[in-house]
Amino acid sequence: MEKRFTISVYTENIVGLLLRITAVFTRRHINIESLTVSETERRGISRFTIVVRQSEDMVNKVTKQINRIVEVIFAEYHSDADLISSQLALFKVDIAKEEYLPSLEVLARQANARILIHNNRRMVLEKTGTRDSLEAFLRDLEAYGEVEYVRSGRIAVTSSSSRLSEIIPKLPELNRYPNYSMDHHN
Amino acid sequence: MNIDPKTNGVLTPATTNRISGAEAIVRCLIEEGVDVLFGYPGGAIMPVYDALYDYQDQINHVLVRHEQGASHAAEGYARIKKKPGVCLVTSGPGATNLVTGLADALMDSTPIVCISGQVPRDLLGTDAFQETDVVGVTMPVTKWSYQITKAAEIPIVMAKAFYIANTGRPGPVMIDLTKNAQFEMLDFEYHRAPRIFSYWPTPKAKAEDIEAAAKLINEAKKPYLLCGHGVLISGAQAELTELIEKASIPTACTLQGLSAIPTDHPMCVGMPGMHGNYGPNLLSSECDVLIAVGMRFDDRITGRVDKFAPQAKVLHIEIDPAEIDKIMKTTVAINADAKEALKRLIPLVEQRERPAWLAQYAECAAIEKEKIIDRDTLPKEGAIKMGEVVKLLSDKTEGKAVIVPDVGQHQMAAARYYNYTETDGWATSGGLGTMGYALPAALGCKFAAPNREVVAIIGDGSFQMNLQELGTIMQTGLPVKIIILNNNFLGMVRQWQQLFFDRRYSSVELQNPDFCKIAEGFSIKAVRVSERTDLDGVMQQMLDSKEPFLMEVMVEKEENVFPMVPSGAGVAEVRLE
Ligand SMILES: Cc1ncc(C[n+]2csc(CCOP(=O)(O)OP(=O)(O)O)c2C)c(N)n1
Repeated sequence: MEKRFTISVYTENIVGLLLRITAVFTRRHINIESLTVSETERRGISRFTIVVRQSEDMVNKVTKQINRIVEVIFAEYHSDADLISSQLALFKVDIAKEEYLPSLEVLARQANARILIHNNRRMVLEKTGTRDSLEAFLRDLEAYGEVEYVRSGRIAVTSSSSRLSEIIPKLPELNRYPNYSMDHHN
Repeated sequence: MNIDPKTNGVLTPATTNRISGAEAIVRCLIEEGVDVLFGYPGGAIMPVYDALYDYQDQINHVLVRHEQGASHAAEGYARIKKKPGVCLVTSGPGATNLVTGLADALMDSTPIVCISGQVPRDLLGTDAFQETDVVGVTMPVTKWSYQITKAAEIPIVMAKAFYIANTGRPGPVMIDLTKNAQFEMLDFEYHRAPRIFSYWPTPKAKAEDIEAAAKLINEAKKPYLLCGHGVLISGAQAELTELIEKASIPTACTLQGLSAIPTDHPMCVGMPGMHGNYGPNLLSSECDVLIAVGMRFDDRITGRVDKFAPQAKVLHIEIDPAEIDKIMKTTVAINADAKEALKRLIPLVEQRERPAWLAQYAECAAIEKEKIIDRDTLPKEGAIKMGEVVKLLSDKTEGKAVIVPDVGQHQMAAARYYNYTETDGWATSGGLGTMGYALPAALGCKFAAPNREVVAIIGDGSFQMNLQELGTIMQTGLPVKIIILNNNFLGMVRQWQQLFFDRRYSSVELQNPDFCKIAEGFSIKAVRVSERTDLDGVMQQMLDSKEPFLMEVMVEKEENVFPMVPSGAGVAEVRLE
C-alpha cells in the first residue's frame, strides 16, 4: 500500500552528493514529492529531507541503498504519524476588485498568514503549514484574484529523539585522528 | 605525532617532504603497494606520466591500447590479487572510455581505482578542450568518486580511494584530478586506511542472528547453499567448506562464486541459474532452507522470483545491508563479512548426514550427464564442441589454471565444463555481461598470478570487441593463452533467436577476419584447429609455450547451451533440450 514517507538523510556536506542520492530514486522511477537540503546543528553535516509516496517495502529498500553511499552518515524513514513537519509558502495575489481588500485581510488573519506586501492592487502573503492546509488556503485566495504560488519542500523532525543526537557526541573522537579531515570537502 | 587508527597508536612510516601533486600521486600508489598500473597518457595527465618516469623501477606502467582495456585489466588483476587494480587515463575521451569497466566492476564488486586527468581548475565548466564532467558521468557506476582540485588534497583522497575500493563490498572508485593540482606543490605525508566516519564497511554479525541461523540449519531437512562471490572476496573458502561438510549441505557456486570450492567436492552440486546445472535449479523448489552466502540473488540465478524456492526459509549472509531483503525475503539475515559470520556459525551447527537428499542431486546429475554433458564433452563425430575443448583444457591443466571467459555461449561452456580445483581460478564479467572483457582481464590476471597458467576463452564476437589488447600482450610479453571458440555467430543471441524468435536470425552471423593472421601481425603465435584430431596436440603446444599463444578452434556453428531456464520462467522449469 502506498503511503507518504519522509526520508531523512544525514550526510557529509560535499559537492555532488545530491546527484548520488536522487539517482537512487530516478533509477526506480520514483517521483520525489519534495526535497530540502540544509545544514544541521552540526557544522559540516547536511540533512536531506525527501518526501515520497510509496509502499513501505520500497521506501525501506531505497533507504538502505541511500545508506550505503559513502558520505551518508545515516538515513532513516518515517511515516507522517511519527513526524512534525512543515512547509512554507508564498502567495502573490493580484486583487481583482479593491472592495475585496477587507475580507482578504480577515481571511489572512484567520489562516495565520503573514502579510508581507500590501497595496490596493496586490498582496504578498506568507504561510507555514502542511501541504494540505497551504493548498486549501490557495483555493480560498483564488476567489480574490489571480494567485502566484510557491511552496518550499518539507522539513521535518521526529517526535522522538533523533539519532543524530546519539551520533554527534561521538564525532569529536575524529579529532584524535590527525589524518582525518573533512576540510578537503570545503 | 601521527596515530594510525587501524594499528591503535603504532606509528606508520610516514614520509614527509615537499613534492608536486603529480609526484604525490605516484608516491601514494607506492604507499598502497601498487606495483603495476594500466593506463594511457594524454594532455591532462601528462605531469603524472612525467613523474612516473622517475619511478619506473618501482611501478610497472602497462600501456594498453584502449582505456576500456585498462579498466578490464585492472579488474582481472584485482580479482586474483585481492587488492585494487589501478588505471590512469587522460581527461575527456580517456575517462569516458573507462565507463564500461567501472560499471562492470560495480556490478561484480571488483575493487579498482581509476585516476583521470582533468582540465585545470580555472577552466572547469567552460567546455575546455577534452573537458568532461567525469564525476557526473561516472557517478552511477562507481562506489565513490571525487574530483581533486588542489594538490594538498591528494594524500587523503587517494588513501580514501584505496580504502573505499577494497573494504566492505568492494567496488570501483573514480578520482578526477585537475591539471593544476598535478603541478602544485604539497608537503607529502601519507597514511593508509583513513577513518571515514560516514562509512562503516564491515558490520559485525549479531549474536542473535548467528544463533537463529544455526537453529535454522540444524532444523533443516533439505538445506541448500548458494556460494557467491562474497566467499572469494572475504577469503572464506575454508570456513564454507567446513560448514557444508559438517552439516552435509549440497552447495552450488554462482557464476561469480565458481572455484570457491572445488567442482568435484562431494558437496558441490554445480552452478545455479539460467544455464546452470539441472539439480541446483530443479531441487531449489524442494529445499526447505536456502542458505545464501555472499551473493545477491541476481535474476539470472532466481529466474522468476516468485517461483524461486517459495517453500524455503531463507538465510542470507551478506556484507551489504542493501542486498538483504532486496530480492528474496529472508527468514534470518546475517549482515556481516562471510568469513566472520561462518567462523562463528560453524561451532553452533550440528553434524549431519543427508544421504537421501544428496542422492536426489546425484540423480539429477546423472540425467544431465546422459542428456547433455556427455554429448557436449565426449562427442565422437561431427564438428568440435565448445564443451570438449573446455574439458580437454581442464584435464590438461588439472583444473588449476585461471580461466577468463568472455561473454556468451563459450562463457557458459567454460563455467560448466572446467573442473575448478584451485581457488581464485576464475574471473568473469557476470553482472554486466561485458563482451570484450576477457582479453584485457586475462592480462590483468597474469600480472596478479604470474606463476599460474592464465587462459582466456573467447568467442569470435567478443574477441573483436577488444582485440587491440593483443598489442598490450605483445608489448608485455606475458604468456597469456588465448582460445577463440569460433562459431561464426554471436552464438548466445543466435540461440535466443532460434528458441524464442522462431529462428529469425537477425544480425548474428559474423563474417570474420583471419584471427591467426591478426595474432601473427602482433607477433603472437597462433594456430587454427578445425579437426578434432588436432585439438590435443595444439592445446599441448599452447600450454607448453612460454610466450603468448592464440589457438582458434572452429566449433559447431549452431550449438545451443543447455540446460536453460527460459527468461521469465521459474528455475524449476529448467529445460534440458
Ligand atoms: C558489449 C556487449 N554487447 C552486446 C552484448 C549482447 N551479447 C551477449 S552474448 C552475445 C554474443 C557473443 O558472441 P560470441 O562472443 O561470438 O560468443 P558465443 O556466444 O558465440 O560463444 C551478445 C552479442 C553483450 N553481452 N555485451
